[in-house]
Amino acid sequence: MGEAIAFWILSALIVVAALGVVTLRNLFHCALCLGLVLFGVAGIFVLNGAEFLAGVQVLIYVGATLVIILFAVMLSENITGERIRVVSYNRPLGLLAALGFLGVVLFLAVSQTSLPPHTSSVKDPSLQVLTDVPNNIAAFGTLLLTKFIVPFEFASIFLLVAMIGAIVVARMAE
Amino acid sequence: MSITLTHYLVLSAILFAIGVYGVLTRRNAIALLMGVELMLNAVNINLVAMNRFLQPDWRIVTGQIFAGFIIVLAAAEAAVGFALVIAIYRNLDRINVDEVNILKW
Repeated sequence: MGEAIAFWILSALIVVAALGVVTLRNLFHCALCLGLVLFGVAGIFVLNGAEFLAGVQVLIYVGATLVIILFAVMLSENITGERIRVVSYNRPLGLLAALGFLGVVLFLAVSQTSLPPHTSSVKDPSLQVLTDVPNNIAAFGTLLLTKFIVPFEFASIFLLVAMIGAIVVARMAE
Repeated sequence: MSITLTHYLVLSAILFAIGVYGVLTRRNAIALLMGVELMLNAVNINLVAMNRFLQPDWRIVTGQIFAGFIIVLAAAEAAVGFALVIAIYRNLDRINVDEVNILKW
């Protein structure tokens, strides 16, 4: 029951704020609405037992990505003080494409009544390290540093490359 | 009525469709990248909900790890994407994606 109440409140928040992101005309308001969406998604993560991911979502998305977006908004405002008004174009076509996509995916989502449950268990050799983890956050860390060590290390290199790339591209003007 | 996997899938589909609408209709490059962020978040909802409802053992959090990697990718995408937007704005003094066509011919 508690989950149902939380789910409906969070869903309403997410959908309304997401509509604000794609329809508001002031870019700054769009960014603030995006922050609301990100907080709502963090709440959905908590509902699904992904407390660590919810914390990561708040720290990385709201703390870092949203700040980058706000900086981009501020840096791209005209120096003359005239605010950039965001105009949408191709509205009917965009609406048609989005609704068509939504129709197909909703049909698939509602008609999926027989998705098979996952069959892996902690008896698998690669998952045996999880046999006596105390909680799901410990399981997350254990799995990340055993079975998923290669993507984990790749992600660090990837982040380094992205950071260098962002600095180089943003400084290209000089 | 208890919340099932379908509820989360429908929420995720709606969020993704709103993101598609934003990407297709916005002219401002920053607003366009915000639509991409919406879509990435929709995917993450799917992954986490699937991990909870289809994986009976709470210790196997593969879906959550996948979602974590997507958050990493989204952060990198945002950094590079907005750096490009800033560079384009500085050099060409325009921010609307349909006016930037120097790579076109």
